[in-house]
Amino acid sequence: MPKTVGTVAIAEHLCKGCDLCVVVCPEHVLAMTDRLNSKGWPVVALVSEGCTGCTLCADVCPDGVFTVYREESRKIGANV
Amino acid sequence: MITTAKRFASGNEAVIDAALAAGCHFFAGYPVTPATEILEAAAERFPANNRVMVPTEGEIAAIHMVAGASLAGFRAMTATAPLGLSLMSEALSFFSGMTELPGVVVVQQRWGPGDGSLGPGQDGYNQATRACGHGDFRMIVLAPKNVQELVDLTIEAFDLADRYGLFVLVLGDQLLAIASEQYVVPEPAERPARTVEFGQGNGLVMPELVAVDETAGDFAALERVGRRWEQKYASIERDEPRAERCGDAGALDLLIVAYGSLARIAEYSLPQLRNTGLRVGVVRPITLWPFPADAVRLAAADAATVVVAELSMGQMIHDVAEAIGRKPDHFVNWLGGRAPSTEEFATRVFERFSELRLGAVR
Amino acid sequence: MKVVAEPSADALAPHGFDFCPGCGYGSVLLALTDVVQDLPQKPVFMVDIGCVDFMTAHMPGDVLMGPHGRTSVLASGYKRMQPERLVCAIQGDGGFMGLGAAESLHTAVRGEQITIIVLNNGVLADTGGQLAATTLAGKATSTTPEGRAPQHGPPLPFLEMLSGLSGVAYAERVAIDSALGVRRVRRAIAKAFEVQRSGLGLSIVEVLSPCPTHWRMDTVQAWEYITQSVRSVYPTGVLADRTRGTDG
Repeated sequence: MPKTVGTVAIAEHLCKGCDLCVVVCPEHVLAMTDRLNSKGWPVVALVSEGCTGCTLCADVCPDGVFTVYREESRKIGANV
Repeated sequence: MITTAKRFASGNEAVIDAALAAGCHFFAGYPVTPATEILEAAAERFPANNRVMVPTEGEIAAIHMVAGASLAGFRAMTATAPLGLSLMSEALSFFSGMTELPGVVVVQQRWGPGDGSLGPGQDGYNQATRACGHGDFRMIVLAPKNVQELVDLTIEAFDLADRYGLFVLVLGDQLLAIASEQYVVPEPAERPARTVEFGQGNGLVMPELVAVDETAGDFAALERVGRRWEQKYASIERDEPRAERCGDAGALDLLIVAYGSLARIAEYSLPQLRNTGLRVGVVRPITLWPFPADAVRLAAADAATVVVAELSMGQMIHDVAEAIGRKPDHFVNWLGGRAPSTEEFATRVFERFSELRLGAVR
Repeated sequence: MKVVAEPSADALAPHGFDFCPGCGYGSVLLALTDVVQDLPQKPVFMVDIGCVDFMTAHMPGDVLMGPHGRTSVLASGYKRMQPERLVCAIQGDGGFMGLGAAESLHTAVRGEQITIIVLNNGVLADTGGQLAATTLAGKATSTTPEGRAPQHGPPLPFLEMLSGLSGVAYAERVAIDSALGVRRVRRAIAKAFEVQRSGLGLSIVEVLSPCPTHWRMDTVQAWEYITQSVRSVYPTGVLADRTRGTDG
């Protein structure tokens, strides 16, 4: 398991369960849950250790669900 | 350099004198007979007076550019014929009805549906006063009878548009467009720039109806917007109707109701009609919407018979009927883009009047 | 730990976007909001009718919704009278290339000093997924249930047509089908505003945007459809760039 150097805060009320973040996450630390938010959509969750704070989930999320954090010393994980 | 002295030019050229005097800073348009010379005059004189003129690819682009310029805080206008007004109708619904932007459209009527005829008509009446664009909205419609009035009402159209937040149509016709007459252009009045909230960067969402969150199902808020519009139109109907009466005072044998160029012909035919021994008057709506119902009803109250004259199959006649509470006694009209001489007008009106009187005797 | 990615709270207020799950329009809004933060002034926005009009409440600046398809000329009229303002028209493919094609074309001919962002999802989505000028051949829509056939014509290469005009200073097509694609949306919009500030002419960004709902796919399939099918008809890249001194 990769070292956890980042994490995400998930604004569940904005999530529509579109799955795109789950698919792009290179560390496979995100998964859809059965939990529904106030709008009736299933919401995503950070389910395991290993987030690198690469921001790909935030990049692809069309609904602005993710705030991504990373340890100060780390460089950006994914580049354009 | 803005001319303020006496001028002698066609109605179409005079429109641009009026626009410059009114402080109009933007003109966009597309050629269509009989309004083309307005566009050409704007092309010559707007840039020369440090104002913007855009010859567009069509009427649709023109009216949208006018709306954009108006949104930017400037007085803006276009000119067209009823044919082009058809193309502008959707935009007028959006920008006059829904967004409440001020603007002016000068419409020179030619007769006929479709491509119609190139001669004068008054069959743009329904279109201008009722059916121009979809939805619940009205525009003020001013109907000048001569070039001086075309100038004065075009200037006033900008004031009315600013006051009420809507588009004002100046409804002329082909005769008014090409007639060259002497007129005076008033001194340009000093006007403070219209304060425009849009563009300040405060997250303003326009129009108000769109700013209401419809997805939340707030139809009560939407109705409040509708009620405000209803009140605006009601205040215009109360304060702005305008008509002119001329001819004999007191009780009349015959009252003629006509507007625009045809009303002028009617006025000129009065001496000939009087020579038949009749007491005759003309009442001329100057605002077509709001229709001057009170003025027409008052004039008709003293008249034994009422005749409506139009260059159409009968459009204003319905407003006259509503105003006087009954069907007018006569209707005389000319079609095909043809307007009568004063003599022909008087003869036709007298014939119709005589027919009715003979019918009554029988 | 420090924040390395944070969505704009302003864009998302008050309760997030109303787009369908996996719709690319939210990504465009977030990218646009990011770009605007770095501009010297907030642009004014003219928004077309269609799914784009769900953007009005979230725009990073003042916004006017105008009639369908004519947003480019509305924006042009405003810009002519406020040349110092940054002006941006936001349109769908239906408005920009279909109903308002004449106005879009002549806006490009005149080289109006505005930025147009076109969101191309290949259908008339707001009304339920009907045939648009941009629907791919064979693609089923609610008005071409058997698929887009020869009698409906091929998809319209409108940006390619406009890119040859001297009035078009910058034209780029980007695609929302990967994280990289979303980053390119942001970069292209930033470039388009830069071109507008330089006064070189019209700048257009066309965004190929997934519409899983009306493409009747899941969100990941919609991305793949863009990558494998849409981009072969509508190639991404810079189609015109007159900032380099020569024709793009």
